[in-house]
Amino acid sequence: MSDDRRVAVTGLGLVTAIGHTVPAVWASLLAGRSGIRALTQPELATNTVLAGATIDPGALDPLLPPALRRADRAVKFAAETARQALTEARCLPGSAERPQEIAVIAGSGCGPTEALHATFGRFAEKGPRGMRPSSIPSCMANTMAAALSIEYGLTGTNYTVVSACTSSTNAIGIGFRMIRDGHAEAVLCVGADSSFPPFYYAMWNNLGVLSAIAESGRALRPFDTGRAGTLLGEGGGALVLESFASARRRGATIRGEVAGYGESSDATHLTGPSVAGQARAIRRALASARVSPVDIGYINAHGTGTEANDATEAQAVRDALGADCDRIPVGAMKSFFGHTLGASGIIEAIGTLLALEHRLAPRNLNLDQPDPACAVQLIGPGPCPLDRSLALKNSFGFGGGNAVLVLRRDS
Amino acid sequence: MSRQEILQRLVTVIADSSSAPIAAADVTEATSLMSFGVDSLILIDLIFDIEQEFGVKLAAEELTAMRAMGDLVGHLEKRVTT
Repeated sequence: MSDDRRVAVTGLGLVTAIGHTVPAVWASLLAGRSGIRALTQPELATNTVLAGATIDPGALDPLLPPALRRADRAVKFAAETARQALTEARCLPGSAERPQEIAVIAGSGCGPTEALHATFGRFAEKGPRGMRPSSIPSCMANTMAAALSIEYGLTGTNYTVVSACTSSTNAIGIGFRMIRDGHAEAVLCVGADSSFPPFYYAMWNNLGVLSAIAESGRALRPFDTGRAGTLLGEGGGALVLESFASARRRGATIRGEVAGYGESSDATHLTGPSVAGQARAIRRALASARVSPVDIGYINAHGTGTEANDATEAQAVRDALGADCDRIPVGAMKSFFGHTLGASGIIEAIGTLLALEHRLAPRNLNLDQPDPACAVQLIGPGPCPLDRSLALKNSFGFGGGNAVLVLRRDS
Repeated sequence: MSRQEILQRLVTVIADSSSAPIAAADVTEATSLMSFGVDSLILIDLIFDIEQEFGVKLAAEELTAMRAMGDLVGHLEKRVTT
């Protein structure tokens, strides 16, 4: 494929419970440090599950542009990750090498939950008189992409994908297609979610999918026989996409490649996953990248730690990849980050790119007894060397959406 | 309503609109309105909140033309009491 159509990643950004920069997150992944802790906020105290991976947003405030210091929490995560990625890619306003026009595609499961919580509270207290004029711009689902476009002068298109846990994977997939097909010169892909505003956390708590295992650091156990559900996290990720030709012309460092993208819908159930739908997305991703299962050297699983997800995903991977499943190491990162919902795809995709860069995949935390129903080659208690340049990143969401990326990093 | 009472209520409104920690004791009629870090988005909320609090109409141009808290207090004193 020509360099005009190959899609390079030239900037990365992360804000998570295990680090507020890309190097810090990688160090935590390698060291096996989870961000999941007991939740001690008084406003969450009446929930039945009190564990998750939280971030102190105050730590970000000194880094944020003044206009965004009052912004919604998820918008702050997005803004800081965008700043990191745009800085690395030399795409900040004023940079001489900056592409003429940069688009921004954001992904978020529920958008500005903190602003929504505050607005609901004002409505409950004051009724319509409490709805300030800024309520709409603060609470609209696309506020994240809009804020980044304005703050960083990004004059390509801007919009926000809202598709549950596939949101930011979809955002990367859309950005990939925009570059590959010549619709954009550069795309900032971002994902962010804030899971702990009280109304939002309570909805997840009452859905019955959170792990009630008492010891918080052991409670999220993807693919383990003793898994009992997921736990929420919060944070964001960002990456800058452009063609290889553009990256080389600008002298940008290429951190990896988005080589393919596949998506599908189960069309069966709002919350129940489907082997057939997931396998279809994996096959489409491979076809999009024009590669075969034998080329894949690592799978970064959706791996939520719920009974249904992990068994379904393992079967879908086996159906799509066949006998290569006995060889390909599979890792899940939600036991580090918590389930960051719409942001999980991009956070874990960046984790995947880092694994390819270092040729080393982080361990699976809390995998004491691999579930025999999950018949894939699960990474054990230590980091796993990788011997190929291609990896899959799976994301599956409520609503039946499936999204899979093929990521590459050549030696 | 006395000027002092208007000033106190304004401090509460501005602190709420701007989400800024403002100590009432530090604000006098000489305090600059610019000192509260009011940007364009906060401005529209602030006008809305002042209108709700004092039951008056206030145009953005009127507020942005004022320099000190005393100007706003005087403006409201006339509208609220007449």
